Amino acid sequence: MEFNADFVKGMACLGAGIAMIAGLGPGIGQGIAASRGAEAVGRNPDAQGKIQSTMVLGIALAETTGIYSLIIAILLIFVI
Amino acid sequence: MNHISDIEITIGSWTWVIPQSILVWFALCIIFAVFFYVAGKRIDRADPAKASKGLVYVAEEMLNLAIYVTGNNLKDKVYHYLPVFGTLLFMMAAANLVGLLGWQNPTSNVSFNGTLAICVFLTTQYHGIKKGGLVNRLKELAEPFWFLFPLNIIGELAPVISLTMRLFGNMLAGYLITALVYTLMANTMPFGILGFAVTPFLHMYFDIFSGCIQSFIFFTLSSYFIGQQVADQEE
Repeated sequence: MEFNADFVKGMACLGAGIAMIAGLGPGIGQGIAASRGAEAVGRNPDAQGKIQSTMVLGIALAETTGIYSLIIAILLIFVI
Repeated sequence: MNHISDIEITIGSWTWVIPQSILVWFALCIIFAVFFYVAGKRIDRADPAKASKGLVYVAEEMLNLAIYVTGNNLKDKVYHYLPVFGTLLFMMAAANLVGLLGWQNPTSNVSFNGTLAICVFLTTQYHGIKKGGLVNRLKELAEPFWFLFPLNIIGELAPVISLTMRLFGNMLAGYLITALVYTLMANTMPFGILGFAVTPFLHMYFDIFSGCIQSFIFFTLSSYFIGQQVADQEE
């Protein structure tokens, strides 16, 4: 096999696919956050507004590492 | 992705390219400058005893939203920092919504987000050093144990990268995915018309929901970091 530009492109796309395995983390983390949020609303229905905004804040913060892997995958596909 | 509206300025042998996102930001600056000026004039003439309506009511609700976002973190200095946080909060929310019009939004440009994050970092460090001097600031970084000093320094630099990359990644992903879907629709044209059943949901999630949430989070986190240095922390 010869290592030319096509090989590099193919391996870069393969690397992008491997990078997106990191999408597993935010899925589990945000699910746990949402479940605790729902449980807290069930326990105290009057505080639903505050619980909801705290939960949304925590969810969007937990998404950060998934976004990091998405940036690496986009860089690999479109730039290399 | 159209690049037909980049502006290139050539001075001698040095070419300066202004990408489309920054031109959209200039237009937003002009629109918001006009809006704030007109709202200010109307507020000066408004009667405080009567219920406000129109532009004055919109301005009051914007003030309440800015205080809601930053009030918990900047406890007593909210009104001191309200100009910069209030302006940037609404301009960033409007900038994220520009994707609905089909243009490239300013926050999908990594240098723009990096500039905002570096401004927040410099404000935090400046106020931390002004509070007690450089030596006290370094002592704060050695807080629980002295050998955690390098980790605390990394903990000061990490929010810059994370604020930049979170906003950049969300906005760039939304822009790329909608651009790819529209390109696919244009290439399979007689059947591509069915794609219009899908694109409203993409716009709804990536532009409206993700844009507003990300701008809310950026300023909640910035006000948290600045509030750590500026507001009195009652225990």
